[in-house]
Amino acid sequence: MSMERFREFVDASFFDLERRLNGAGSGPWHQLRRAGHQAFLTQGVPTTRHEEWKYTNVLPLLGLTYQTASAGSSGVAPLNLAAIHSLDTYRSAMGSDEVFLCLIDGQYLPSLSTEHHQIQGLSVEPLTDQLVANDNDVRTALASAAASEGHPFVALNTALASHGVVIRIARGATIERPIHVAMITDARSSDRLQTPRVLVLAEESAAATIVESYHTVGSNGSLIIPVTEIVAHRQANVRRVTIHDDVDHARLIGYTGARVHGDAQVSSHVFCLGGGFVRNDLAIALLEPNAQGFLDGVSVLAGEEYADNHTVVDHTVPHCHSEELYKGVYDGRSVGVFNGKIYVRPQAQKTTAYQSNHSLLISERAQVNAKPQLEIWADDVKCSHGATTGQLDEEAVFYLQARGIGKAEARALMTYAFAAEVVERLPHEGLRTAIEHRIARKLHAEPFTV
Amino acid sequence: MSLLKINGLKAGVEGKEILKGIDLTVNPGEVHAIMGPNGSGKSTLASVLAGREDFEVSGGSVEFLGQDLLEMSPEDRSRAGLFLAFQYPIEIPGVSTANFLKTAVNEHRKARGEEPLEPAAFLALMRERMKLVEMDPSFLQRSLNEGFSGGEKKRNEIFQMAMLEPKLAVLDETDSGLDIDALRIVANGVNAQRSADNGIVVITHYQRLLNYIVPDHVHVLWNGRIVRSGGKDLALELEAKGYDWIKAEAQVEA
Amino acid sequence: MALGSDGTRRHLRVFNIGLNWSYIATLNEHTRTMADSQQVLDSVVQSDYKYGFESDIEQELLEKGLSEDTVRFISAKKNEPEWMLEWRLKAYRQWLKMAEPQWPNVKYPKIDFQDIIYWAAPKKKEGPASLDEVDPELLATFAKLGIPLEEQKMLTGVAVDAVLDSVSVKTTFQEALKKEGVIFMPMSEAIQEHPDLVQKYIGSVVPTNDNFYAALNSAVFSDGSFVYIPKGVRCPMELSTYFRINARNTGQFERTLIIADEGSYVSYLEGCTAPQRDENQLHAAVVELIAHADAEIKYSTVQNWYPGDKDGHGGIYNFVTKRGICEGARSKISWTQVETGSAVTWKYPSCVLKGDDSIGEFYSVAVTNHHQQADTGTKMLHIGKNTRSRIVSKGISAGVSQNSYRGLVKINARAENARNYSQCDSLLIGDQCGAHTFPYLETSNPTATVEHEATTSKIGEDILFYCNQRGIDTEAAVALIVNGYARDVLNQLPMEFAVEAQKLLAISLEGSVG
Repeated sequence: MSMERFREFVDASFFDLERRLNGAGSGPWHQLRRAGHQAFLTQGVPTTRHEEWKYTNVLPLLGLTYQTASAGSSGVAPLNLAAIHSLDTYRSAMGSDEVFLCLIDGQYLPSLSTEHHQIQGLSVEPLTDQLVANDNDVRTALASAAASEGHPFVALNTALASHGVVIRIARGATIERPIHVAMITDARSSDRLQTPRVLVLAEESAAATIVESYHTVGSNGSLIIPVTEIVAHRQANVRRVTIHDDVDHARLIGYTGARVHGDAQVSSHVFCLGGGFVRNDLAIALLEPNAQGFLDGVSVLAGEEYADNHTVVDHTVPHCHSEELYKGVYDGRSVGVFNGKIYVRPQAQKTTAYQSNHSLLISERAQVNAKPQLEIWADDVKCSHGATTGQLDEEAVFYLQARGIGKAEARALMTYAFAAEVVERLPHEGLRTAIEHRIARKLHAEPFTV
Repeated sequence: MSLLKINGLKAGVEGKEILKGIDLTVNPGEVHAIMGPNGSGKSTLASVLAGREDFEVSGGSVEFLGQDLLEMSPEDRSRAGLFLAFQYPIEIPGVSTANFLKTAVNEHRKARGEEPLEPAAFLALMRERMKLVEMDPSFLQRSLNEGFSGGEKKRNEIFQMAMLEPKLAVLDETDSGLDIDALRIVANGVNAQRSADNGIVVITHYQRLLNYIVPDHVHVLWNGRIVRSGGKDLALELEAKGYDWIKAEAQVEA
Repeated sequence: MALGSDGTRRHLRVFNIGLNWSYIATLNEHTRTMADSQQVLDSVVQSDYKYGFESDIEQELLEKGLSEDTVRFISAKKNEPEWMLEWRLKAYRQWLKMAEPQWPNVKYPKIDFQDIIYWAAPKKKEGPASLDEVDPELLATFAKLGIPLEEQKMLTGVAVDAVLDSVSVKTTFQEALKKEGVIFMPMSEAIQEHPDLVQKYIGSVVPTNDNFYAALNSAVFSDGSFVYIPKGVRCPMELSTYFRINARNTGQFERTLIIADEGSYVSYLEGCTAPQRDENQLHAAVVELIAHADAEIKYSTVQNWYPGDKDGHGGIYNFVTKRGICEGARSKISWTQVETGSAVTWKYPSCVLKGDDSIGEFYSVAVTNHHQQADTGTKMLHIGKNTRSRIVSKGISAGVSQNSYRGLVKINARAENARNYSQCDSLLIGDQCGAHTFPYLETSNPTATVEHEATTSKIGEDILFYCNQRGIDTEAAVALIVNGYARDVLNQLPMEFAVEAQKLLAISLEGSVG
């Protein structure tokens, strides 16, 4: 009956949060929390009978005795960020470029983050009830790209989120330095569940790159349920990089929603390179003509790792464009899921939408489930999707052997090249190189360096 | 009776006038060349004659064999004997050239009150007419224009013309994108179809094609009007001097 | 339980008999000689649903409603052995606990299963009916459908088992088949004459509790076709069943079972029509195919149930379960379907590829126009080694219709070297319709190769203008383009069915381009 207990835990956490609000309970954010709480109760925890959760059983994740951060972690020694290996790897990769934003158990901690006030056009603030109440832009944007109805874990995040961060890029500003949002779960003293909330507001003609990564500290269970909302106003350009490279006992159920206005574009790069369980939903709504969405993803899994990527691209108006490429390499007993939906609404004529999904199974016991889905209600469109599951081209492997490369090495090289095609699309060189090395290490291959 | 009689034809697209008063008469047995720089309205004229819906006719008249052409649907114009060789022939996946032509030829026959051709007779006719443009019979079973090279598509247009035996053929930039060998083949195909009964309107940017398809009359179209007409020498003059002097002259006159 | 008084004479309404008859005659003439399929579009002139006549036949009808008594009545009426009744009752009890599936991408009002007549049969005299004994009205009906019942007319090599509503009326060419040891007879007769075979195989591919409609069918099925091809026999002719729903308010629940023993081959065709009516009628069939080692079954369907009028009134709900199992090594099952009819279609002819090196194929053209909805596709379950499957699905949507492809390719962990290739194309005509693709690709073996491709296209103005300029009007151009688009599937049909299918495609899309 872990499902029941989990519900009770959510209820208790919600009411506990409500008690501690001290007057903010009538504010607009808390109204959203209440609606989220209701929506979670209505939907319940999804089972595999639910089409969106057909391949992914979340019940085993909910069996632990979680605590939320609000239950307190007082008396525990401060975290040593430099000792978190995966965090350190990607921070070094960005080097002095990085604008580091540290979120521990959902709470943005400016003291541990980069001093960003001198960066022209960038504003970073903690998400608070007061900010939501007083700032019109924040209030309008919050929950606009991630609806509690239709996704039980968005509802759960909305119900329980009490912290978060708002990143604003001013009109016309281009932030060259990658903004790194690191979400750290402190599971040293107990099983920990956290629900961070991130809001990215790119004003007209603004441009920025947001990198999100997740890190668990401590040997207790961790379940992170992050929700990130991106609003790209006219002609804005938001690049979003998501790096999943957490420890084996970390679990994540994340949701990213993006609203893309006219002539704007949102590019997403999702890397699933580690972490015991990842379920990632990415929904991009193209709202005005010439909005564009680019969705890249690569999963390189081994051992018992599990990664489920659900994407939705919603073409709601004419003349929008989307392109999607997800790849996966599955070793060990790992399991990959890809569910990619493209909606072309009745009025969205002249849509161009392309999707492809390619998987390599390199072990007897690995498994992949794909559901590339097109739903089209307009006739003057160019849409296609392709999905393949297969093996390496043995001819090519043989060719490499004929050039003196050992078979195992040749296969590793080919597998690496298969995955690297997606990584190459990431512009930040330092980050790209780090990810390439990580993939190479995982595949026991040498990365190509030019 | 003339084949085609265009009087003061004005037409445009989305409120923008492109043809600003065209007069042209084509009699049986004549070959007319319409030349002009890009954007002068050449292809618009071809499209309006064939009945493309994107263009609105705002004035003037067109008589084809004594009938009001502008009142007719595109398919009726075709059945009455008007053929347009497209500048950009369309690809139709899954529909073989043979099947397409068979449908077209039989529609034409039906309009004339004739029985459909027997498959064997039809096949023989296709094989014979393909020779005019040196097309390989294997093209018959391939999807219409799909995967055809630019030259093959243009030869296919002339082959279709041979199958439909039009009274008046309008060749819209049939020479564009052709190398010299393909140009010669296409021109030979057209010349083989010249007769005292039919007329041909060759629309082209370059004089080159007219070395092979020698016109009786040459017209220069600029800015939606025929600004100069003459014999085949006019084409040579244009080739030598370019279009600028015509433009200058027309501007002076206007 | 009394018989309804409703089952008496009604007036004959006739539509297009002449055309229908001559068309079938043409079809027969073309059967083996027509080398050139390109001429078949020439006669596409008919725009009404041409099978919309109703026959005036003395019918025996059960009252509306479903209960254990209904099941018992049907079983008793057919003089079935006890095991068959028990099997039906088990299915009925399972059905009671099941819910209608909600996942298909179709919408229709809730069906009242107590408002359906589960038994409607032409009244028959005692004893075996020779041709002379068959109600002449019934024979006339089949004549209108173009099914030549008299064997001497059957020069085409097609043997017909015609099912009108529930009871198989006449099976032709049985003698010729008997010589080869081929059994082709109504299911009800097979239950009497070959109980071992029926008992062994019925429900072995589609269990009674497989799904809601399969359970319902298992409980109340009235008849259907039974085919058995003995070892090593290549069935000397194509076998065909023509289904037609005739009586009002009736559901049609036929059941087909085809067994191809080792090394045998059979090609089976299925056609269907229904009268034009304002109300919706339910058709819930089950088809089971079993292919033993080295056997091949080719199953072709041209489905033309009444689709409802252009405003969406009436039409058949076509909820069908079709599944074949490639039981033995190197066996092959090939499904080809041309779906033009029905108001709502819910249908996934599937292959269970159990034998090593077995092959499953699915070729489909599904057309929806006006308010039609189709959710159709296939399942390919790869279990054996070196199994191969191929899916070619061509959806065509026009009007305000919705057309969905839903397909599952599942490669089990032990299915070494399995191969699948799927191509799902959608063609949209007009901007009010929808095309949806839901492929599920589940792979648990690293040696598998699964490929899925999907494209969406439309019949553009430029293509239509090009055709117009060559003298082909828009209606003919649409027919030409659609048949070209569907060619890969139509090529899989036996010639006479391909001809009918091409005509149906053209007819069902008439008026779709303004």
